[in-house]
Amino acid sequence: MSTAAVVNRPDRTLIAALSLLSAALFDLLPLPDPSGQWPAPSFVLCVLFYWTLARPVGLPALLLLALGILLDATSGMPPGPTAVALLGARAASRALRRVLLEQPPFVIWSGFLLIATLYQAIRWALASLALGHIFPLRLSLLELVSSLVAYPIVAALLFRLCPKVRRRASRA
Amino acid sequence: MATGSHSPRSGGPPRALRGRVSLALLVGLSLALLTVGKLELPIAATAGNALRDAVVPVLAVLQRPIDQLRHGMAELSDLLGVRAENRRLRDENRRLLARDAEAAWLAEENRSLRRMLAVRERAAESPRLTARIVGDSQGTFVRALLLDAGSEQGVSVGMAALAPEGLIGRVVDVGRRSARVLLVTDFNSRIPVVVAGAGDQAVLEGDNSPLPLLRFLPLNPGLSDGDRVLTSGRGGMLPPGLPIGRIMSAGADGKARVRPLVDWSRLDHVVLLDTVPLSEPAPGRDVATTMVSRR
Repeated sequence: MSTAAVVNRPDRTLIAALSLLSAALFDLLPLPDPSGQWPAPSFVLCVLFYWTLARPVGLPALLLLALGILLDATSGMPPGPTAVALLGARAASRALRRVLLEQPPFVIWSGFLLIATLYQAIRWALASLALGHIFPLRLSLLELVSSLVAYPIVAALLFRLCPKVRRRASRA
Repeated sequence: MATGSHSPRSGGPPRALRGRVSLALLVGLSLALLTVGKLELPIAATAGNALRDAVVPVLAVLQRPIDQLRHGMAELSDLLGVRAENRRLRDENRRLLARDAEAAWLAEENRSLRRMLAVRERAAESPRLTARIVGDSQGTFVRALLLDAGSEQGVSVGMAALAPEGLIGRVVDVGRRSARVLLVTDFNSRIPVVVAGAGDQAVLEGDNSPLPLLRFLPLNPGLSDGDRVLTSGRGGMLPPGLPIGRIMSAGADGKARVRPLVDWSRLDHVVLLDTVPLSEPAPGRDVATTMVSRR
């Protein structure tokens, strides 16, 4: 869960953007769920949090807006709730970054808990407003739990996928 | 954990200010889009369909390994339960053979009664096509599936979407190469149904949980646990008699819920069934009219 490797070179922007795009596609794919009850985790949020800590300047807000609209439009929601939630999560992650840097994994994971809660709260509020229905909080909580479970895996995967980031992290 | 080699504040305050302004602008833009989306303008639907058309080919490619994983898991599960499954299938086969004979007799009786009452014949076979599921929004707010077939393949809004076990939803958006199916579990889904056996008419209403609710039941419903729930065909939106699920015992909220027959974990294709509009009754052959005129 090492999210604190700071790399600010232009080629990393591409890696961050591509991983974010891949995460958005994974959010849309029908993943196997034998129970049929658990909402899939928000991979986009996991990747966004990881890269905001590792590359605070590199995630273009415009890309987040586009991905949010894509996710909403593809799922059949009015465009907007996910985009606002992603932008809010990015701003909050950047604000938390200085506190979370150089902290043990559990503390970073706790930071993710805060961000994921904020993300779910924004989405829930805006989706309820947009669709004119107060959605039960249970499903948002389940998605939150899914994302919390997925985050360490996504972070470890991103850490392994970028050897230069890893080298720099181990040097530091 | 690494320490920063480059300060995030290297751009200085103007950069931070620019960041805040652009964030505010983008959030404002998102909220404006949300408001426009609420107006349900045709251009918003067209843009949504175009986005789905663009993303479906990519999802179709990414979906392949997931399909293989799902099939692998299903095969493993089958292998582990093969003896119990074999026993269950033998029992079911015995029951079905008995039902088959009964069904043949009932079909003949039905035909004969229809002829006597001069009821118009149902459409012989509705047009069908198969589509692959490439996207899924089994999430918090919307329960829908994204299909890799659209208007170019003959998909149209209102088509019934069926799994091998029965109805799972209805097509609500159609692009050129993509379509979106609203599932029976979505909170926007309302389907007129009939409970087999009891004959109670009701509306199956999704609430985003896996077990949709039965609403607008008669005062003293005669339903019991395990009764089959079928489409009633009222309103002409869906063909009658499509199985959907079985009645579950009333939940903690005291409402009757239905467990859909479909096995969501194995669902990778759907059959789309075109809704054949009912034809106008032939003049002078309407049973109700005949009965009124006899009084």
